[in-house]
Amino acid sequence: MGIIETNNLTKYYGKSLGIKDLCLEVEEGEIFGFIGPNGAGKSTTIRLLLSLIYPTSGQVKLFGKDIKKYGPEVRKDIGYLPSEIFYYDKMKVIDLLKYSESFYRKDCTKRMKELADIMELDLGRRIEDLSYGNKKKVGIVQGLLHEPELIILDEPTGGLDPLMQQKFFNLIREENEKGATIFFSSHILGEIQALCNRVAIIRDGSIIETADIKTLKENNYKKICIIGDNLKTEIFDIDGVTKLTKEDYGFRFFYKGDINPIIKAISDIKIRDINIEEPTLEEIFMHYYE
Amino acid sequence: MNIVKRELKSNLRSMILWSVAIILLMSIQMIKFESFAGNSNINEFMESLSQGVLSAIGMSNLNIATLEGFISTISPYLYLILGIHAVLLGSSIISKEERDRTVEYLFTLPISRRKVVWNKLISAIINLILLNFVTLAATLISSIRYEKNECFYKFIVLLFLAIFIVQLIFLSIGMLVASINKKYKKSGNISVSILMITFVISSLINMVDSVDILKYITPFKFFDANYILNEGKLELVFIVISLLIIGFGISGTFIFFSKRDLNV
Repeated sequence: MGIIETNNLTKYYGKSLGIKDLCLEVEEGEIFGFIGPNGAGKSTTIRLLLSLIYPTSGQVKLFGKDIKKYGPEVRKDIGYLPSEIFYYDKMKVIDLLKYSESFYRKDCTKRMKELADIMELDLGRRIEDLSYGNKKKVGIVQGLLHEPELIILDEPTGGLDPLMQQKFFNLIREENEKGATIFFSSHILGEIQALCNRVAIIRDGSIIETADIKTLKENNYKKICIIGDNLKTEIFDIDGVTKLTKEDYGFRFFYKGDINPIIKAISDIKIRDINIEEPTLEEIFMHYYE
Repeated sequence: MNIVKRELKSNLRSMILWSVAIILLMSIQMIKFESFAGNSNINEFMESLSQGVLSAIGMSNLNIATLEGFISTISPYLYLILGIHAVLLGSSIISKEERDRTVEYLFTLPISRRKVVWNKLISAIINLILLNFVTLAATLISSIRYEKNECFYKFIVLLFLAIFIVQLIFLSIGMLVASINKKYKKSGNISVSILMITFVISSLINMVDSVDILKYITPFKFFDANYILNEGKLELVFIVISLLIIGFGISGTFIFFSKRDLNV
């Protein structure tokens, strides 16, 4: 059973497009990356998952249940960490966490204390006195204190120093090992690469590719650099060649597909050197954006 | 219940400020009354004024030398002040999560929007009742040295019941506006504008007889203190209209707020 399933999910804000015909399927136990630049529709998608906004068409199922019908029920098992954290300013951290707990019909005190210890969060302070990073820590504790089965993270690392980021990632991995499914939205490739099993790339409101991180990196693309004199552009007029750029020393390009046609083409000409590499996820990603 | 408690707490400060303002106002009014009380000259003076002037300030046919007559004359301001409180409370209690950007917190918790609105409504009504009682208490305490008969108590109870109904009307209007409108600043403005327009209409009715029919659309004219004083009851037709407006406003709030996109 898919934990998150969206079916042709479409959202227009008036006339401007949020997302179009989005089909996602996130399986139980995955750490699913959701990557794209600002404005691609990541937050729109998440807000639709949480029923903060409603789709123009299409539907969302969480834990196999239609959220239109079972919204509050499915949200019991969801932990959400928004990109910007806002709470009631006058409240103390501990009061806010207890208030959150009161919506879940279970005792979360122990887990709350554990999480606060891990994140080094001072529970006695008022929300309004907290820095951006400390508010984020409150968000993390609040999002995880009820031990949710699905954790939705929207650009979660902003404001956390590298050490805290590491602790946070460890926490997420632990939750995942305990069985939680993670939906991780970000525009930072490094963190997606480090954490996720699968990734969907979203651009202009549509998903342009969903793949295993491994296949995305290993199988599909080669970064090829050919060094030589008097090379002609026509040589590289082959299906699968993209981002062909001419440099002083020769040509650079990405190649996707059967490697043999390329080898054959190169074997016909005189070159000085050749370099074939795995592209970084970032390069693959930039490639999708052009 | 957790939301009710939370709302009451967050409204406590504003509640205290409104209460202090009303207590001050009533004390000042009663000092004013001191010079009128039992003074027959004042009635002669009032009679010498033209009816037009008196109507404009809503003071025709009143004996302001008696306590109930005096309270009648200041009642439009009680309606107005408690009405403003109610309409602002109604619009802010719905839109404050959007204003404070706490939408992503509250509405991602396992609770339906309908339930949130219920809880907020209960807390708002408690606020209205409190302010109504504070006003009533301030009226009674500041006039403690004047003798009151049974008639006075009946009048005052009916008047404050009427004020409560008008509070509910404006609360439901404020909530409805905020639940339809995504922009919280706009909903506050629209709500207060509706209230001010109906207040201006009610003054207009006092001055111009031919627009009397407009009394059906301004809550400030539903339960005229003068009428309550003379007849000893609230007019049924206006009770019905009030209940219709309240019912419409509140059910509209549930429907629109549950269906619209939240402003994140």
